[in-house]
Amino acid sequence: MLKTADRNRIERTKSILLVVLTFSTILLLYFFWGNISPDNWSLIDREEEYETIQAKGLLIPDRMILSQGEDSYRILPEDQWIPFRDGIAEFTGGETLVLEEITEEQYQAVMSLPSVRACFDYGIPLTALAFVNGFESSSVYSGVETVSEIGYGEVSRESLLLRDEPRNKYYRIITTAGPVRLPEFLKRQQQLESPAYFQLGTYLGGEISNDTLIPVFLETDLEPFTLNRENLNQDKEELASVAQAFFGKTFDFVRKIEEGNGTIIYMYGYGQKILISQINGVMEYKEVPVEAGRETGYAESLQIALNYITGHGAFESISGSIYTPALKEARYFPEGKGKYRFHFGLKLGGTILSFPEEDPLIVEVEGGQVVYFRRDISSYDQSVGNGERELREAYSALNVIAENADYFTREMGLAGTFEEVADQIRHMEPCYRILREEDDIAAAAYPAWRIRFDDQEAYFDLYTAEPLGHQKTKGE
Amino acid sequence: MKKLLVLITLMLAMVFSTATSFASSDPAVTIVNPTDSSTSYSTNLLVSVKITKPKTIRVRVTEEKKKVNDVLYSMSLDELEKAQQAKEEGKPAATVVSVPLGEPETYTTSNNLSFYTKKFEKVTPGVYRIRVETISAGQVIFSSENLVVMKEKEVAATDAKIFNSTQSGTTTFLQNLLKTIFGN
Repeated sequence: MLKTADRNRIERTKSILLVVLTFSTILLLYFFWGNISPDNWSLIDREEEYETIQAKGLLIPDRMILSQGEDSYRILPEDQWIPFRDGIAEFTGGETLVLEEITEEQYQAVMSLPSVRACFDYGIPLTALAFVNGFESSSVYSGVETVSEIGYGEVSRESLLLRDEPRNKYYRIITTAGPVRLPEFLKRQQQLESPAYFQLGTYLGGEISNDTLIPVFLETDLEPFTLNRENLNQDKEELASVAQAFFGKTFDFVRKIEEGNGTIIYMYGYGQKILISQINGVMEYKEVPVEAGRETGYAESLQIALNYITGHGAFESISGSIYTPALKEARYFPEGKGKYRFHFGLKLGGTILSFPEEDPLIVEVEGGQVVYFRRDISSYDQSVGNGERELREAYSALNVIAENADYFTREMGLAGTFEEVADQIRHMEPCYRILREEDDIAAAAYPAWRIRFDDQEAYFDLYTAEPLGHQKTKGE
Repeated sequence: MKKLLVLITLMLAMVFSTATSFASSDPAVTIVNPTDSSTSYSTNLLVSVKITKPKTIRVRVTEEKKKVNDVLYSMSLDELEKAQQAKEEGKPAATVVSVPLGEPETYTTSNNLSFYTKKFEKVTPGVYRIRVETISAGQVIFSSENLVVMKEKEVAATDAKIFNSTQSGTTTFLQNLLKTIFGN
């Protein structure tokens, strides 16, 4: 009897050992095939936690213009969008809103008197702007396709004025309530001192009616600096770590291809997902859209794009050079489930960096899924923006135009007299002009005047007015 | 007689010749803003001078004021013109004093197209004279001037003037009625 009990115990021990050995074998094979260190062992890839950039922070105006009801204007600091936005929220909240189409003359009449307007370089769907900023929902928003200017004037306190520049349409939203915040905002801004701007047409004695704002005198502390693209292909471990963010840590079914020119390609399956890391530091990722995807609107697509960017390096170089993002353009492709292509630019200390090639970050969202991602972010000399820098007088904006009149006609093919060429200017502002050859790693950033025409833009040294090249406008 | 005719012809030719006529203003220097005898409803005065040849210019801006009992008063363009006309005709005229608005500025350009610009802030209502002189070898060789009347901002237009208030009211009423029925 005892013999039988012992035999049973031995058999049970054997069974347990067999199970343990089987599991050990599976576990060891997992480590061996997956090239996983026990330190980071996990059955499931954990999503890293990031602080997501909100669409609200990107849908901001490119400039805010204060009119004091005279022939001069002032450019408000970037942070003044927040109190203006709060004023719009109060204006649109709680009361009955009415939308009315108005004429350009009516719009300009209000804006020529004490008023403030937020200008966007491209049209944003009003519904998206209202949604991301938490304005109380209203049916009037859908009556305006896109908005490129939002204005508020002292003369018509119950009206919020809108301009849809691409469609050359003007509207006003009328509220039955008496807004408080916007009139207070306007009054407060009129009391602040800042450099005066005049319209280009005013400088030229009214020969042309160009409304591009030009400062009489401008002081800046912008200085040249250097940038360097980060070639990850030389650091295989770092590249693998970056690639893991696209394919997961196990690299299951991912092939790695190294081309003769140094380009490294990661490919999932039969090309459903492809990551291309070029030797010049540019990284491109493409993904085949899934069948089950659903169409997402502007605001949701933008947030999906921002979430993706946050999880894939954000607006920061690998070595930690941090930039402020700027949404430069959003294009909609209605084919299929509808696709949004977002172009992001970079700012340093509030000044935009203007690159000669593609924008630094491009994301395409289709059916709620990121199907294309391009990243070209350089590290910059960390001394930029450190410490107090001396203010310098920028070259007279008007004389930059006058003294380069030949450049516009000879190099850019613009035709006409000086006044006729000047009348074609759409915008002028200081920026950092980035100069580098397409495949170069190193680049130089020069403080520059950027002069934008309808379909091209020219750059001139901010302090000497020397030409720094010209290029086609990238869809702004 | 023949000699006399030749002499008269030569004298007439000299008198009416453009080469000998004295041009007070420099054709390469134009005050583009403000335009002459214009009115600006602003407290900012923008002076813009277009120069189309390498030049040195001196720009001075003054306010033309009348002096009454040793007190200076701003005047209108009409008053200034009457005072100037009376002075030319040798009649009693109001004493006009040019009060400088800042120091005169000298500007030199070596380009074939350039602008001198200057902004004056908090300018009080009155008549202002912008005088531009072309300087060569320390001498004034040309000069030109424009007068501008600075006035206070016009009484602001009202909402009703800009927007058709009757139409807006009707629209508002109808919209409100529809919203009451169907919701916002």
